[in-house]
Formats: sequence, structure tokens, C-alpha cells
Amino acid sequence: MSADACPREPEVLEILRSGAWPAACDEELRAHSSTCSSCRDLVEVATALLEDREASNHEAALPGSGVVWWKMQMRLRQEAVQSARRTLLLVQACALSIAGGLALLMLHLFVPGWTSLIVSALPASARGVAPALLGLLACIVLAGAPLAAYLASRKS
Amino acid sequence: MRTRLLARAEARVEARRDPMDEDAFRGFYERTSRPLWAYLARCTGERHLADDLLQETYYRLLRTSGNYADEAHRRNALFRIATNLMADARRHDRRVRLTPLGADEGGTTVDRTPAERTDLARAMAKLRPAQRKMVWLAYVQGASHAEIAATLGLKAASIRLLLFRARKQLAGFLRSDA
Repeated sequence: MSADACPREPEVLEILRSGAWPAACDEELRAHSSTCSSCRDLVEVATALLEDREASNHEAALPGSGVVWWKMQMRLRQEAVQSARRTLLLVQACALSIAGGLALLMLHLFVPGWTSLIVSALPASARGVAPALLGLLACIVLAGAPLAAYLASRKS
Repeated sequence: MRTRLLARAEARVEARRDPMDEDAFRGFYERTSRPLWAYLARCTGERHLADDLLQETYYRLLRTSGNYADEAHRRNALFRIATNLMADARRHDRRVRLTPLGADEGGTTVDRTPAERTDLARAMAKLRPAQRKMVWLAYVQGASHAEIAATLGLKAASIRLLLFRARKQLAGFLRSDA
């Protein structure tokens, strides 16, 4: 299908949209639109759509602009506060992680045998890799907790 | 620290308000809300969905805090946001179907009878969503091909042919329904 549109379409559409069709439209253009298939389609489609728009305008029960503005401002404010709270949560979670990490470091420095207490509680086969695993677990918890808290707050 | 962060958030809201103050928004809303609602209602076929999307559209427009050269640009942005929201609504499997708006209610003050409007709704329902939006933007909003392309995210060069096809199909459906 090729778009063999009529060059008079813009003229017809302008008259249709101004509401002057067909009464205030000149006879020659009306005669043209009845013979030109492209303009005939345009008149049919645009008339139906424009009349539908008019009817929709009467049907629409829209809230007042003041109410909408107020709602928007409340929502923007709420969103900004939530975003700030999320940042705050992330900062707090990071601070807690750093404190936890420092506590572990202190424990390691000042209580040298503390890991052996945990390792001795494990089965003999797991004792070789236990310190490395404990270190890895501590890293995952300390680094992952703030991230998890932040993501959870985003979802909620 | 908490107070400072919350105060900064408040300031951000104030800054966002700058591109359009309350008076400007109210004027813009008065001029555009009815055409926008008609566009949403006709393209989604659901007045409740149109109500929701209308408020969401204005909210997104305010949130973007864009500086538009003039009202026409802002209006185009508004319709572009509405079009994207309709696409999102479809994607989220919300009920988007065409019902004859106003056909079930009395009190419309237009020449078209409810039956004729039902014909239009039925004919529009046979078009693809992008075609519905295209014919509405072109013939009701009077949007140029470039504006339609920007709103629908299509190439400007293809609009002429796509619009021609959509119009021909819609005219055919209207005639066959009549």
C-alpha cells in the first residue's frame, strides 16, 4: 500500500479541526473531498474522532488543578523523604559494618586464640579450611549487609 | 545528620518545583487535561485507567523538571509520557481494551449518537495500539509527523505511510460497521 495522499489533505484537516466543516467550507473543496478517496477517508475518520473527543470532554470528571497540584507536591515530598531515608539507612548499615569489622579486628589482635575456640568445635575434617572460611563469611556478612538493607528498602 | 539529609530532600523538592510553579501548572493543567484524558480514554478504552494514568502523567512531567522551550514542547512531552505509561500498562498486563466510552451513559451533548460512538470504539479496537495513538495524535491533536514520531518513538520518515494505512483501515472499519 503506497501513501498516495492528496495534497489538499492539510487544508481539509484544518477546516475539520476548526469546526467549519461542512457548513463554512467552500463548495469546491467539498466537491473535491467527495471524489478524492484520500480526502473522503480523512473526512470520515477525522469527523468521527473529533466528535468523539467532544463527547469525551463532556464525560471527563477530572479533579481540579489545585487538588492535583497539592497531591503532586505531597507525592514529590514523600518520595524525596523516602530517598533520603534510604541513603540514611545505607550510611547506618555501612557504619555498623565498619564497627563490626573493627570489633573483629580488635578481637583478633587482643584475644589471639579466639578462632581456635570456634575451630575446635568443628569436625576434624573441616578444621584445615575453617579459618579461611570464617574470614570469608565475615567479609560477606560485613560487605553484604548494608547492600542487602539498601536493596530491601528500595523494594519496600 | 538525619535532619540535614531530610532538609536536603526538602530542598530538592523545592528545586524541582522551579521549572513550573503552581500558577503555571494550574494553567497548563486546565488547558491540557481534557484532551489528554480523551486521548488516554480512547486509546486504553478504560476511563478508570485513564483517570489513573492522567494523574501519573502530570506527576512524571513535574518530576522530570525539564525546561521546555514553550508550551507546545511541554505538551508534546506530556503526550509522550502518557503514551509510555499506556505502553507500560499494557506490558504489566493491565486490562487495556476498548469499550464504547459514553455509550452506556446518557447526557452526552454531541451530534453523534451512542450507537455511532460504539461503531467508532469498535473500529478503533480493531487497530493496533500504535495506530490508535497515531490517528488520535494526527487528527485530534493536530500533531505533526515529527511530533508523532517523537511521541511514539518511531522514525519520522515512516509516519506518513503508517498514518495513511491506519486511516485507510479505520475508514474501512467505520464503513463496514455502519
